[in-house]
Amino acid sequence: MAEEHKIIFTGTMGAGKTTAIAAVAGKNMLRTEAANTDSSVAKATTTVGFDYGEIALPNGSVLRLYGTPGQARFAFLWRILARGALGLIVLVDNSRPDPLADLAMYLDNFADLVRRGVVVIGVGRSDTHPEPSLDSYYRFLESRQLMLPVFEVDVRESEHVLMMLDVLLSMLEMSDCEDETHG
Amino acid sequence: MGEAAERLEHGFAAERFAPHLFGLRREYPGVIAAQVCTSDGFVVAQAQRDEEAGRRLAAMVSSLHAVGAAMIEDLQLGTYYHLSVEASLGKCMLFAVPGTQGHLLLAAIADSSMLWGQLLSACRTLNEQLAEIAGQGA
Ligand SMILES: Nc1nc2c(ncn2[C@@H]2O[C@H](COP(=O)(O)OP(=O)(O)O)[C@@H](O)[C@H]2O)c(=O)[nH]1
Ligand SMILES: [Mg+2]
Repeated sequence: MAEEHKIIFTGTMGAGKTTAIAAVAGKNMLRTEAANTDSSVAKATTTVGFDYGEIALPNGSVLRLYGTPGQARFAFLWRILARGALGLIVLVDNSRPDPLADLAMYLDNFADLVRRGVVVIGVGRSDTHPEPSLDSYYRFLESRQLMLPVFEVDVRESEHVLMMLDVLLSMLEMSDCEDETHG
Repeated sequence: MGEAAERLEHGFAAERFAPHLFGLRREYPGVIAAQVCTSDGFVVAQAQRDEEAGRRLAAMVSSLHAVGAAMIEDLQLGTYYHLSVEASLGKCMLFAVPGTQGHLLLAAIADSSMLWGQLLSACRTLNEQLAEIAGQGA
């Protein structure tokens, strides 16, 4: 098994990519925030480069966590950041007008990782915005012939973020095993 | 801080940047494009015809700038001034416009006919003019 895992967090602006990485990687995190001038999103700053944080696992391997900017004008960076990534966490903000369309946009843009099936989806703010429900997410994924885990999360809680990473890592191990048995 | 950015973006200061950007292009034919953008990647003023190209440039400029600034901070090298990228067919330089709390960036692209030092010094002069305009506000 690889000693270092590069994992990407993506999702719309304000979904909580930066918050998620900060929750688990702590102080030594690298941030590239700029003052937000887009008045359609109530947020003081926004990531324009990438977030970077590390977690050391008990078995000695290291998780390298990269957070992307959310906005489509930064799609050129999505492609750069996806290079060499082993897994993807898509954060969806359920309070937005069309969270399933948001999800579709990121799944399309990270098609390689999606094809490899190494993607976990985290739905945020479902306490205040219960729709779309987890069922709707699973039906949506099924309509795209995708079997990916979906969780309701609050990325301000480090346990929630660690849980998604845990699931992703076990998916990676499984896909490693499949690679070995199928050559 | 949002207020200052808004004033710069929507006030007439933005319109007053453009003549200086065009001035750079007139003075140095090797300059292909010059732009002032916000640190989160929106065009404020530009001296180039292709608006789509301008929008793409602004997004890239904001990203590169942020990564450069994060690196300078990580290495504890003090205040970030500029970043330059040179290639066989041309070069780009990115600057933080002084006095805007990092909200405004200047980017200039030149072809290979323009020397690196020439572009640097022309941009520095321009950047001082922009800083003065930004300081005056709307
Ligand atoms: N109320 C609420 N706030 C949340 C939740 N998840 C994230 N946030 C907040 O939403 C904001 C997300 O910002 P940020 O992490 O910068 O988003 P990014 O653009 O994806 O990097 C932060 O202020 C979080 O505290 C949630 O489930 N409920
Ligand atoms: Mg962010």
